[in-house]
Amino acid sequence: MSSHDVLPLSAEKCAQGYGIFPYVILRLNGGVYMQFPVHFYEEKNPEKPGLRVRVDSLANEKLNFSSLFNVVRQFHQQINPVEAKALKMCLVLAPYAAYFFEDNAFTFSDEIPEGGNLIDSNYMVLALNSAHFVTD
Amino acid sequence: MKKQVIVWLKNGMIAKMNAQLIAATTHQVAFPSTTVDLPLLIEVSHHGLTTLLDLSGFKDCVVLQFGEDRYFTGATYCQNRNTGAFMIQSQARFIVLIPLPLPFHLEETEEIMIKEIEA
Repeated sequence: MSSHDVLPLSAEKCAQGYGIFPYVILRLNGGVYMQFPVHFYEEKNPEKPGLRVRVDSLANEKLNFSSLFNVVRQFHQQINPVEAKALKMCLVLAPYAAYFFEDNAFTFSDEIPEGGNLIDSNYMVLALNSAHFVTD
Repeated sequence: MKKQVIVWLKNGMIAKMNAQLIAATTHQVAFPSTTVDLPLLIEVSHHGLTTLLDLSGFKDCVVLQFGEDRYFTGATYCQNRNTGAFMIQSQARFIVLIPLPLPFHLEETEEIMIKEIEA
């Protein structure tokens, strides 16, 4: 496999929540990104890979998204402090909106991470040299 | 011209963004939505009590409003779902338009700081 090969996200991975906004990206190094889907749920824990956020109602998207800064900060605190300092974390909300997290500050960007090697938390490849989200 | 806008939140976190700066020099201002990128910072420089903002055609965003002391005074959502005009009247002196979705609670907003963009 060459560094130019393209492998989009598979339907199987999308069913697990990968490639669906919002998600968190951890930049491991230059071209390697780890994706954590964010799952909102009301009662039954979805038991899917990624971050799970219990909410009062799935219908209220505005309210659910508004908890994401806190979710990302808590997730950042869970990561090994040495690694957390070295790794860049990014909350991706839409194809045109992301917030990079560093030192308790979120910096808005209208450009989101893309391409490179996208892997899951088990270091399994999700996609190569393609968008990190599902395109219609 | 762009400025760095820092939104301080009550929980100790901050949201930073480089926002296009527009001065509201009259009581009624209209921005061509096709030439304005979000985030957008509007600084009200006239001495009237209110400013009428024409946000017709804007991308979906939240409109954060701040007083002379730069403390948060209120917010509204701008979601244009049809072709009609959309205007808001505001008493704020500093107005920040941030694209939706917003990843923090509106009520956590405290104040803003405006800085030159660091090189």
